[in-house]
Amino acid sequence: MILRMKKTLLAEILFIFLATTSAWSSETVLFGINVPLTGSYFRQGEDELRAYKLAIKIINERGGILGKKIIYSVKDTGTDAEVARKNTKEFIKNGVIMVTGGSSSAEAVAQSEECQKGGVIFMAALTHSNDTTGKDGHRHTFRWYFDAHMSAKALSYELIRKFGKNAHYTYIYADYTWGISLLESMQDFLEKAGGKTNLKISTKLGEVSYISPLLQAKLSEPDVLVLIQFGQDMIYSLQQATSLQLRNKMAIVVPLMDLHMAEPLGPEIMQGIITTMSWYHGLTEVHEGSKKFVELFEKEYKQKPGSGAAAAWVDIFQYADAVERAKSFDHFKVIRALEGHHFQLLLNDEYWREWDHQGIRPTYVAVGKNPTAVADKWDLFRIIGVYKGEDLARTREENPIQLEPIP
Amino acid sequence: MITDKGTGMKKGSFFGIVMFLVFSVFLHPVVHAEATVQSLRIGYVPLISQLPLVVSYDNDRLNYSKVKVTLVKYSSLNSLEAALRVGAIDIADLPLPVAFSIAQDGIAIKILGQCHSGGSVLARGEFNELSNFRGKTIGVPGLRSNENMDLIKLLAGEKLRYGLDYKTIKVPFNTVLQNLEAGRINAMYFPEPYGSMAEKSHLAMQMEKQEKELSGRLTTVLAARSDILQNHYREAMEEWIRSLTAACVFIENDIKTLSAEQTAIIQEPYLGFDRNLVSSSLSKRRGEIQFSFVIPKKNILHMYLQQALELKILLQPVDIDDLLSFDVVGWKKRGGPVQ
Repeated sequence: MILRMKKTLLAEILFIFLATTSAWSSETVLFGINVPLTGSYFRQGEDELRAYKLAIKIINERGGILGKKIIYSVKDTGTDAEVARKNTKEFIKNGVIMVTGGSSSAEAVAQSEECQKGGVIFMAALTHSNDTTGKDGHRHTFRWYFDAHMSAKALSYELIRKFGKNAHYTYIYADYTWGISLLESMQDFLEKAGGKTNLKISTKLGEVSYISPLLQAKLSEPDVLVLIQFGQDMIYSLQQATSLQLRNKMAIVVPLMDLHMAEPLGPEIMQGIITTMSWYHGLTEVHEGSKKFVELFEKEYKQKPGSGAAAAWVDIFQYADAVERAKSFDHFKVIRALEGHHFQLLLNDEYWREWDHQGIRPTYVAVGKNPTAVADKWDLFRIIGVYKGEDLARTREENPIQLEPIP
Repeated sequence: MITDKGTGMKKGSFFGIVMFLVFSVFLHPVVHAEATVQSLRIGYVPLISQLPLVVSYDNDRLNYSKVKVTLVKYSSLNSLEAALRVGAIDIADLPLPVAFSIAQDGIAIKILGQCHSGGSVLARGEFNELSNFRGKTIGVPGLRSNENMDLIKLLAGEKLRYGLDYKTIKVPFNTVLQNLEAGRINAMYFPEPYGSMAEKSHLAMQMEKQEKELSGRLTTVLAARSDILQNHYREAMEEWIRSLTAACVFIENDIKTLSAEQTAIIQEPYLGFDRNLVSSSLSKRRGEIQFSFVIPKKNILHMYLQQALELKILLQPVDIDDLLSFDVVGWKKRGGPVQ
């Protein structure tokens, strides 16, 4: 009996030893990259993926993280939150050490939830809903990208200056967490100042025709039409709004824009469109980190990166840096290394806010350039306002999030 | 749908549909105005040796500027061959005798090169001498396959007569393990990872002598329909060939530095094999597999052609010089790649 117990104990010790040795001796760590490569936001997903691959290549060429090379698995979310959730579960099952991605906030929220359950860090990339670091925020999730509140606040300053306090607005918005979040933030800031909402029309993610809501918007006779769509949906929406000649009757504002929406539209359609951006390749003139990023990206891919690529770039380098500082891949240690950490990567003095894990960084208000003023097909915007992160970000009262405790 | 003003919905929707139809007509040219890229449809089957095709696609498809690649998966070499014959695909990595056979039937194809050498494994049951193959049935991926021809040549050296002392039969990829298990075949000479899978399932073991006789051989060639080698395809083809060459380098580096872990992950959605199985097969270089995009040596092609004629796989010879298309894709001009 005793002999059998000894044998069992010995076997257990041997098993634990082998398992531990195996983990220690592994020369790689696995990242899960979960981006839309199909569906409405495929361009943004592709942009992110390019930056992810480049950042990982650079880190591996430098020797990896804590001496371990990064390997990565890419999954297509199809711009569908449930697919994103399923992918994340598979990643975690396959032993990823970190998940990153997004492009729709619904996807990001789903991934964030699964990563929290699985004890895996989620470095959210392109996600703009207030909920990502608000009511759906989690201890394991960090977001560098700005949020709807920041966009709406910055944009409201410009809109009030341009159209007055009492301007009338009509909104066409994507009916999910991001669209609703941005709609509410826009209405909140503009109506507090005296603005009026004439009409708000919801649209489903992935629609092809926006003719009907655009015609209803026309009938509502606003001063400003606010188009809260993204990706291919925005491309269709703005093309059709231009075709319907709505811009002769009202101003059009797109609160969130990305280079890979603007480039397919071209300067003829983009001219005069007011928007906000988390990052723009034109920032290379003032930020050394952005310059380096754009140079490396262009050398590799012969094109400019968009804001999704910028978020992906920051996510990989910031995670790697946090692991190095923590001297460990342990998720709790990495979280502590990230919380409150100030850094300079693409911009000057950015940081991860400790209590909601929101990246605090500037927001840029931009306007589409006149076609005669563009230097090339990527030169589509002129920055007309820069707002500090601290001035725009939600306060604790505005975002009463309580992240899960960590040991 | 409308949250504030709810009137005029039906009228608006109808008008909207009409307007959409009208606008879609003139929006259409905007989408296609800058279409200068050429489409390439590339067929593949789930074999480790076909990794360059999928790695190239996965690594570079977002960065192609001259070519739009569509990968089409086939479950058998027969269906891959048929697809190339009827023009459903433009390029396929096929056994050399199959490429000869297509050319012999008057279908205009060219051999672009080879992406790998080796990668096929002879696995057997409870015997380990070549002489033990007497009376046995051996599964091969096709009777018109390099594996079949190499095996016949090897066993001829053991005084074993093909068809009399042993026989080879074509076994579909997806049934090879069941055939082994059921005893319908006693051994297999198959492209990886099927040998590894058989070993993992304890159905067969790799032959000890095969390193010398069967490994590192030419098994397949990259065959393209001649009509995609016209001048207007040149830039697209060059871009894709560069990508393919880079993919071979990528896989080799991955084998050397990361035990092929990244390649094993990349193949999952395309080939669908277990990650550890692929990583293990590649890092052990089963069948002495090597990835490099090169032009096959002419004397090797002639040797297989001669053998195919002797075995009546081919009824008449084909012009190998005509099959090779070096200058069409600009290799001579760039000075490589050469073997």
